[in-house]
Amino acid sequence: MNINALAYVLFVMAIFVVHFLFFLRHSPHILPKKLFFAGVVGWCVFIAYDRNLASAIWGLLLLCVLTFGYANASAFLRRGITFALIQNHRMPPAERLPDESFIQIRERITEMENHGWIENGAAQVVLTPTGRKTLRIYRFILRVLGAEVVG
Amino acid sequence: MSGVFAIDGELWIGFLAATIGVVVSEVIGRGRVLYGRLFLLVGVTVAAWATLRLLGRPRSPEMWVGSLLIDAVSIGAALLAWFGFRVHLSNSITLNLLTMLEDSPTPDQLEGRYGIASQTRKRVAVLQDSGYLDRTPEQMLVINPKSRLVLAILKIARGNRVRPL
Repeated sequence: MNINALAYVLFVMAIFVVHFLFFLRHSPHILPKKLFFAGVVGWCVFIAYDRNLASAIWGLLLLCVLTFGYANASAFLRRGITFALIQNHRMPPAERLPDESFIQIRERITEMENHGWIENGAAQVVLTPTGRKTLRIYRFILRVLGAEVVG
Repeated sequence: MSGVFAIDGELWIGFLAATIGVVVSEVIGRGRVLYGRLFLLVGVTVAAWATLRLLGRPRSPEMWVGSLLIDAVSIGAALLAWFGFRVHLSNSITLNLLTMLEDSPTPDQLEGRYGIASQTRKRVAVLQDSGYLDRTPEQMLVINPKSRLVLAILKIARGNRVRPL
């Protein structure tokens, strides 16, 4: 067993757990850049001690995969309509919002505009070349994985 | 085996097992919804991991604990990333809307195409079917112990905010 790798794993786990417990709810961002940076610092210390290329690649891959998974999971928890519906039904009936109000198509249009996928969507929603390319890639991945769109 | 592989190859066992699990579950479970083949994904990953570990050199119990932790974190990270990616692909409202834009609709037309009311009903029905919401005799939907557990996790991730981020 690689003791340096074990110390690195414990460090990475610790910073992610601390971020989840104390910082996630206050963060306006989906991608935790500061958390990733803290992980990179840990990785630098790890490779300084370990001095092995295979360990270094594994360590960086672990950090990237964990950050991607964490960002996805936190986005799912924080932006998920289904979770918002559960929270809504926790409220007394008089204080509940209409369930339909959680799906905001106009906000999604703005989001697509910010990504550069569509041109100004005020009157008509028109795909940009980037949007068409994204759509082609999306459909290709769906076809390869045999996935169905249900969102 | 070369020196590098002999010393550090074991660090890759977790990722390798997760990759085998993902590929096998995608091939065998093709066409089935992701949640329906979660057990297949986890089962194949654990089987692949156990096989790879048994093929490795025998080690002392204290070394097993450390290796187990490294493997568990590697597997957990890989499966979390893959699961999140797959769920996002199928469930993203924004990506779904992107597929409805080829004839440049107006925002109102897009809202009509998406069908907010029916999508909401579908989501509420799924929550009910999965046991997260109960219907009272007065036809009111209420939370239950199962959903309270989810709410405890949500409180950490998003506070008590009802609206999505």
